[in-house]
Amino acid sequence: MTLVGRAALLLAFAAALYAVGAALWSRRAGQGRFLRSAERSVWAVFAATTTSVVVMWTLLLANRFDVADVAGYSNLTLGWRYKITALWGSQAGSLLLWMWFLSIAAVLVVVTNRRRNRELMPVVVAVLMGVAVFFTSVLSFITSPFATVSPVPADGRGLNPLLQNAYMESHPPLLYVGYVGLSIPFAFAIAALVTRRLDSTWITSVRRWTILSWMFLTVGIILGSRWAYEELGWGGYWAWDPVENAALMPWLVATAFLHSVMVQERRGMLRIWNMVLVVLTFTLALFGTFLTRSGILSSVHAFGESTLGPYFLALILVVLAGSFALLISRMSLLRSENSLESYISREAIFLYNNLLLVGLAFAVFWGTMFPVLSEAVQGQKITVGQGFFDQVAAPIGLALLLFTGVGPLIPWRTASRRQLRRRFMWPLVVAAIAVVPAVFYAQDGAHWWAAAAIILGAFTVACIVGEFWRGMAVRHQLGGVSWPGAFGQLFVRNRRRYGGYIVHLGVVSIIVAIACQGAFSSQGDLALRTGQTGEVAGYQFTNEGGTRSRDDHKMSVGVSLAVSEGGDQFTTMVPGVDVFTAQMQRSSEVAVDSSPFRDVYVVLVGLTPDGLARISVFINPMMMWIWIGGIVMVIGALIAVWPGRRPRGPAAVIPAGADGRVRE
Amino acid sequence: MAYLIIAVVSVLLVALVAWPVLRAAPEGSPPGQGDDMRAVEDELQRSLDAIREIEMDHRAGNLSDEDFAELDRDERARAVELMNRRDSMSAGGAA
Amino acid sequence: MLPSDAVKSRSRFAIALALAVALGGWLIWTSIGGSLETYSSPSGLITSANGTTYRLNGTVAPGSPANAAERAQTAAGLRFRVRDKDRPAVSVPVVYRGSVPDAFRDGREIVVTGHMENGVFQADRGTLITLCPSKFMQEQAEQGKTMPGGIPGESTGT
Repeated sequence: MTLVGRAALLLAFAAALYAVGAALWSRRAGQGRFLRSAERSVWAVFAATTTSVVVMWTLLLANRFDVADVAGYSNLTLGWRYKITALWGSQAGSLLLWMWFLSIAAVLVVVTNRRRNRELMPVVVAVLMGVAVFFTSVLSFITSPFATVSPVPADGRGLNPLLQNAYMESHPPLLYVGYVGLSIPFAFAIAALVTRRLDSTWITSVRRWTILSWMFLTVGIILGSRWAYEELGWGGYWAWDPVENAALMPWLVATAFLHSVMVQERRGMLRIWNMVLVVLTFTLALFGTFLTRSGILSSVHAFGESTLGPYFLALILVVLAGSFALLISRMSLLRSENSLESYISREAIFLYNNLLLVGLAFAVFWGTMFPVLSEAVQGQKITVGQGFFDQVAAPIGLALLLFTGVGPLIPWRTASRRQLRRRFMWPLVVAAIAVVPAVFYAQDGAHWWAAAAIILGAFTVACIVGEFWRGMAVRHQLGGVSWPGAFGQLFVRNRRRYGGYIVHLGVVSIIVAIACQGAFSSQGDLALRTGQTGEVAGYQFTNEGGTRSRDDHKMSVGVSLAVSEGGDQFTTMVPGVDVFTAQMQRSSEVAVDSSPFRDVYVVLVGLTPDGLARISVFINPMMMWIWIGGIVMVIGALIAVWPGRRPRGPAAVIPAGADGRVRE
Repeated sequence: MAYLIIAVVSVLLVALVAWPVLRAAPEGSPPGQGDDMRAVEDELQRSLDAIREIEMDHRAGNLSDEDFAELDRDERARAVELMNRRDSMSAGGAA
Repeated sequence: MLPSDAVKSRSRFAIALALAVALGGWLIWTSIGGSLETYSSPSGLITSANGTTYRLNGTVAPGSPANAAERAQTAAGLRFRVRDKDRPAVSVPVVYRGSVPDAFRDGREIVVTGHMENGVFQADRGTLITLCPSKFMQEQAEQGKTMPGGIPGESTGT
């Protein structure tokens, strides 16, 4: 079996190598048939990689402990679901997953471009398969998922209990889909540069890919936070850990790209900038994989030191140097078709938003890499605390929130003052109303940024609702359709715009929730004997007795707590701790009571035989809105990429020319 | 046994990949021509979308009358130019 | 657009860009100043002066309390020693309060933030982190099949 797996990977490596060569060769005059051959080779890479993934899963399910990664990350008692998950528990396995997704993505690109982009495709195939060559060679020659051990252990070590939950089943694959998806815009950008077809075709071709990859990254990041919140038991969800930052950085730059791309499509500007963003996004995706797998930075998630660091670093350097050399050589072809006419225009706002997003990504990068840099420069490893990230992210996040509201209301090219005043009157009124509760809650002034987030959030929501309202009003008048019909028509007519607004609503929800959680959360520790009651932040907790149980997997203890507010009991919470016998590892089972305004989050710290329970209580306001915001963002993104051309409206029949000066 | 399977599958894959090269297919039209056409079509479609969006924004009150007149005129001029380019290209392709 | 207009717009653009970059740089610079933490092993600590904020990295020396999580919630705090990874003879006493990760136990690699005070490392509240949750096996082999510390059901008293 392991032989088949290894052979499949070698075959994938050979096929990818051939695809690169054949694709590049096909660019010579008269050699066009080699492109079809290269595309078939992409299919071969996909088939071979799929085979090795299937082999790996078979080995995991068959408890083949002679395979190192099976012995290391699975055992006899592990359920089949987590045996599937164990594939990406190991380093080699997670790279295999990356490679598999890449091969799937490459096949999809080949299938969807059978008749399109024929001039770009040779380079696109060569770039994607070049990346595949890297991954298959790493998997074949450096860290094989099919490495064997002897003597063969009787049982495996089992999967880390922290990874045995639905979040960890879905979070790494989703992130990887996002990372891999970002390689496609990169491949098309490079192809456009190489072939000098620098019109907007490549951007149109990758638009959906970019939004979808971005969406997967979003879901991956949010599920990761949710995992940290529910499984790690420290009451928080984000710690600016290197691994978290590794996912956030490409997300930030991809977000910038999604916006600046519109400027290029509409105004023919920012063409060099967009190239830079695409290259950076892909590099950061590689860097993210590198960071989580290289062990150069300590992290809560540290996967252990590995030998892969230099190889990844080399790949990243090659990608960066190659792309920028190519970009510089094509600089003269990337001249802007227009220039900025006003600082108050849609394109200007997009530019500010881009600078903020990239600036934030840079700050996160700087903070993450500071220990490595300081060690190189000063010989002393100096890290930056979470305070740094919070301090930088808060003002940038608030400014982004402001532009989220302002941007859509400002027309392209230029805006007249009178028009602006009319447009922003209502949002400003709403913001003024929001000042009252915001200032009331943030009375001591220490929470000014939470107050600012609430005010700006209200302003932005008012802006977006206004946009929907005006759009619906026009549809209602024009087509004589009902109001709900008008609402639906907005999405049909301009998916990207209105889907984008929905995404913005999700973003507002998340930023406001983060600010409120950061400013107004409270924490307290209680030690309660059976029957005793303690209070944290106005909530009373009564110990109603502990429970203990054990099965062949784990020993569990729990304590039953009656929770009341102002004398009314509203729920019973049962926080607990599991101890997994196979790994001798504790795992907190936190209890969370969610409501729109606050989460009550209880961790059982310890329970003595005589019934003394020690618990930590966290009251986290608005937490639910982070998850709701995430769902809203996904819905918005799906609306934006939903297939199908918009129907042609009356304006499609134009050429008459508005003022008669132009005619066909 | 495993070796045999691997060998057979490898040979099959090689045959599959090599087939388009070995079969001396007549060269179709050079790549790029269709792409040029599509690039113009895309550009035109975007321009038409822009015109529609400008019109909607004007009706919705996001654009003042003067701004609308200018933006609309420019965008329509661009759309017409793109249409001309498309027509001349398809005429050239047919000839 | 007239060329002169384009030039003007370009230079204005450059100024705006430079301003934004300067502002961002300033923001990063001021924020980073207040939050520097020197990464250090126990042996690096002893020779250093008081007052600096450290991120102490090492392994938990044998003999840490079994009910670590509970002790960390008491006023006295959790007391344990952190041992140098490379020089096992060197260790430093630590006082810590706040939540203790589930993986905390003898021999586990940890990172904790705090400062030195009279030869004792005073850890900041809630900063204790354990490393490498996916590499638990080697340690288990080293330690034999003993029960790890801090299992709630097995601990006795506080």
